[in-house]
Amino acid sequence: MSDAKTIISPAIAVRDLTFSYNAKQSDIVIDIPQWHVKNAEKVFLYGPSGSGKSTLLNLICGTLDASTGHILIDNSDLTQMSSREKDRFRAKHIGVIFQQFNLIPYLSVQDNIALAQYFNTDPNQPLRPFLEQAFETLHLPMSILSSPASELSVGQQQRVAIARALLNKPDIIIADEPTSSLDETSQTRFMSMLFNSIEEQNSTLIFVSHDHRLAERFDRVVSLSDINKVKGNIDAF
Amino acid sequence: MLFKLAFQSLLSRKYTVLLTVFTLVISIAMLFSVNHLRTQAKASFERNISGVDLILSSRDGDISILLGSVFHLTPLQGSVKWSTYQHFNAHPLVSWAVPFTLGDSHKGFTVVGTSASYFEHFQFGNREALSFHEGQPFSYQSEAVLGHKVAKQLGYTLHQNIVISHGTGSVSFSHHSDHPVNVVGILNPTGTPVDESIYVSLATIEAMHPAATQVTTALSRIGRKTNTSSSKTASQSHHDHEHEHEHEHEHEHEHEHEHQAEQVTEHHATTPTKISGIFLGLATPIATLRLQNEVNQFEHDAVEAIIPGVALNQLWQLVATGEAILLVISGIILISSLFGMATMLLASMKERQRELAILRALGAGPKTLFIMLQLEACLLSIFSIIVAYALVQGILVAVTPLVATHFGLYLSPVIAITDIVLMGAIVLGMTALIAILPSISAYNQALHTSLSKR
Repeated sequence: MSDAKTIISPAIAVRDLTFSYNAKQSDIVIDIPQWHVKNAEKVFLYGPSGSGKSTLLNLICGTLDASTGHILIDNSDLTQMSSREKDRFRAKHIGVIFQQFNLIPYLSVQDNIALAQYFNTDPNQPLRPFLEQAFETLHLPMSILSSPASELSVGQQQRVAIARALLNKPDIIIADEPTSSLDETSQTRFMSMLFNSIEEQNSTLIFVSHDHRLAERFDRVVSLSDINKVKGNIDAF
Repeated sequence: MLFKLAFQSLLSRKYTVLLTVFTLVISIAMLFSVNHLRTQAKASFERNISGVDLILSSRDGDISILLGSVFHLTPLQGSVKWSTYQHFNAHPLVSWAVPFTLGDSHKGFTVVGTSASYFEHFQFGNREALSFHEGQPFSYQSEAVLGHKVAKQLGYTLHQNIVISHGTGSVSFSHHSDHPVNVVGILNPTGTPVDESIYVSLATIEAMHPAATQVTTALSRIGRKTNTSSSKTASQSHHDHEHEHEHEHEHEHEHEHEHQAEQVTEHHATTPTKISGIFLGLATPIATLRLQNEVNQFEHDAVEAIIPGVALNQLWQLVATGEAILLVISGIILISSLFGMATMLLASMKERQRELAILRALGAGPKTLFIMLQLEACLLSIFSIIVAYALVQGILVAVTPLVATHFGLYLSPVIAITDIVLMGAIVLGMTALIAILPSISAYNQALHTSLSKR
C-alpha cells in the first residue's frame, strides 16, 4: 500500500466500459465511464440482484468480452487480449472464490488446489510449503488433502477455495458472495481468515455481497449503482 | 493433470462409464476376433500346399484343379497321359515331378496314388516337409501311408489291412476287397487335407483297376463276371485305353491278385497308363511362368499347369467377400458403440456445468476442455481395447484346441501384436473422431460459461 505503484497504476482501471449480451444498444447492462481500484485495496461491492454485479466480475475476469471500452488489470488491457491470453492471464493474476461449489467433487483437496497451478503456465512456488502455511492460516487440517472434496463440509470447502485462490499469488482476488452458504459463526471465521490470507499476500480484493454487516472491514464500500450508469433490472448472468 | 482430471472424472461416474466400457469391449472384442479369424483362416488356407511350383492336370480350370488336387474336394474330371509325365519328368527345367492319381477312397477319406517321392517333395505351411509319426513311406505295392486324422479317427495302427473302395463317396458299393492294403506309415498332423488322405503307390491303384483307371461304374461292375477270359492281357499291355472302356470294365482280376502282389517291383503297373496330375518342382522358380506356358501349349496331351499360390489366391478371393462382410459388420457395431459413448459423454456435460465454471475460473480455455473430453473418450477406448484384447486372447487359448480337433482348422491362439496395435490405433482414431461431438459441446459450453453460474 505504501509502494509507489499504488499511486501510479491502479490494480484495476475501467474506462468507458459498456457491455450488452447482444448487439442491441438498448440492452446494455454495464456502462461504467470510469472506475479504479487501488493496489491492495479491499473493495466491498454491493447492489440489488440484477444490477450487473456478476457481469462486471466476469468482465474483470475476462470470461465475458467488453462491448466497448477498456479494462486494465495491472496495466494489461484485457480488451486487447485474445481469449487464450485472457485465460492465461486469469490463471496467473486472478483468484476466484464462488458462493459455493468451488471444488471439483471427485478430485482430492490437494488436486483441486494443484489445478490452479496447472493452468498457470508459470507457477511460482512449490505446492507443499504453500499448503502448510495456508492451511495453518485457514485452520484446515493437512489430513484432508487426500480426501475427495465432496467429503468436506461447506465451510471447509470455502476455505480450501481461499487457499486455491491465493496459490498463484494473484494480484486480484474476486469473491462472489463467498459467505452466503455459511452460518454466522463460519462467516466470521471465513472473513477473518480471508483477510489474514490476503494481507499476507498483499492482494487486491473485490468482494461482492448483499450482507452489509460484512462491509465494515473493507477499505471502500461501493454500490454498483453509483458507478454503473445503467439502472434497472437486469438478470444476472 | 488433465489426464488425472479426465480419469477421476470418469471414475466419479463409474456406472454409466462401466456400461459404456462394456459395450465398447464387446464390439472391440468382436472386431479383434473377426480379424484374427480372418487372417488365421487365410494363413491356414495358404498352408495347404507349399514347395510345389506347378500343378499339372487336365484342362479343368485353375480352381477346379486346385480343389481337386490339393483339397480333394471335387473330382478331377480328366486325366493326364503317362507319357506326359515322362516328358516333363525329363524336362530340363523340372527338378522333380510327383505324379498322383485320385478317384478312390476309404470310408470317406481320399486315397491318393502317388510315388514315394511325394513324401519328400510335398510341403505344407511355411515349407514344412511331411514327417512320419510312425513307420515309413510305402515301398511296395499294397502298402499304404495314412494321414494323421485317418489313423486317429478310424483307430488304425501299423500293419493293419484296409480295403479301398472305388469312387470318392463315403458309401461305396464297390470295394477293392480283393486288394487289401497294409498300413506301413502314419504321418504327423499337418492341419491340411493331407491329414485326411491315404497314400498308396500308383502301382497299387493300377493293380486295383487293372485296365480302367478312370471310368468305372457300378453298373459295369455288375456285368464283370460275364467275361473273365481276356483280362490278363488287357490289364497289362494297354497304354492307351481310350477306345476300350467297354472291354476294360468287364475285366476280372480275382484270380490273378495273388501273384500280382508278388510281382510289384517288376510289375508292369509301375508305369500306369493314366494319372490325375503331376506336382512339379522346378530347378529355379524363375522358370515357373515359362514352364507353365510350355505345359499349356503342350501338343501331345490336353493339359494345363497352375501355380498353387496364384490359384489359392483366386480361390481365397471367393471366400474373401464373406470375410469382408463380417469385418464391415463388426466395424459398424464398433461405430455404433462409439456413438453410444459419445452420447454418454454428451449427456454428462449437462451435470458438469459447475465443473466447467470452476475450470474456467482457474484459467482453463475452451480448448483445454475440448482436450479433456477427448482424453476421457480415449481413456475409455484404451481401457476397452485392453480388456477386449485380454478377453479375446483368453477365449482363443481356450478354444483353439477345440477348433483344431473338431474342424481341423489350425488357428494360432496368439493374436499378432502388430494386429492389435494397428486395430487399436484405428479404434482410437475413430474414438477421437466421434468424440469430437461431445468435445465440441464442452468447448461451446466453456465459451458461454461465466464464473458465477447459479
